[in-house]
Amino acid sequence: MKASDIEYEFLTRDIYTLYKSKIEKFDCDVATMNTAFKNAINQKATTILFFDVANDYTIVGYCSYRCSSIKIGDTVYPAVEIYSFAIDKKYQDKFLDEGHLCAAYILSYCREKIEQIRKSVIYAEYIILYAYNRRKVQKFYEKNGFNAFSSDYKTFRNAGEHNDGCSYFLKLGV
Amino acid sequence: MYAMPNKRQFTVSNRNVKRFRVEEKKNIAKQKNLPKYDFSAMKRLKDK
Repeated sequence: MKASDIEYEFLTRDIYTLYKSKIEKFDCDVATMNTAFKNAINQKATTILFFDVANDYTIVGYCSYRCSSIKIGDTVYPAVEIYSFAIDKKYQDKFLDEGHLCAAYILSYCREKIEQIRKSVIYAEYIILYAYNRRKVQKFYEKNGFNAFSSDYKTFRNAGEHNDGCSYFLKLGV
Repeated sequence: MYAMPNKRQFTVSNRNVKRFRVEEKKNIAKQKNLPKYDFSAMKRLKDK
């Protein structure tokens, strides 16, 4: 699979209608996330779909993001929240011919998009997200530029080692 | 890989601000070591 096999499109009513059967087939191995994706058209977030054009436009993954904020002490900073991000299980461990993990490539592309928004549309200080409670998932964010944080750090031993889900941040403009 | 809708607010309590700032410095250093991706191949479906 080459990087050029991946194309993206924003989720609109038209795109939803056109690719409904592909959206229905999407399976990231977590039922709640599959359901969230099927309802993405109704979510209060902007969603980008990623397609494998070399494989009959199968949906590789999606990313929904929206305006948000993070309160650090008494100060509230503007942030972009990755509201949901998921990769189909067939692509989760797949590498591109260029040597990158497909999922990392897509997440980095989303980060780049958000950087562009920060520079030219509306300012944000951080990207924030809430990661699903799987070690593999949390390791993925750790490896791809995110650091874990917690409101009170009570259950915080080493970054990413949590039984529950965990909040992550990435400082923008680095 | 999954990020999921968060039912809680994103907050860091006052007594943990220092710890967050340490993590923030680590985050900046980490980002400088991330691989560089070439996104020139990434096209929008609509533009085809």
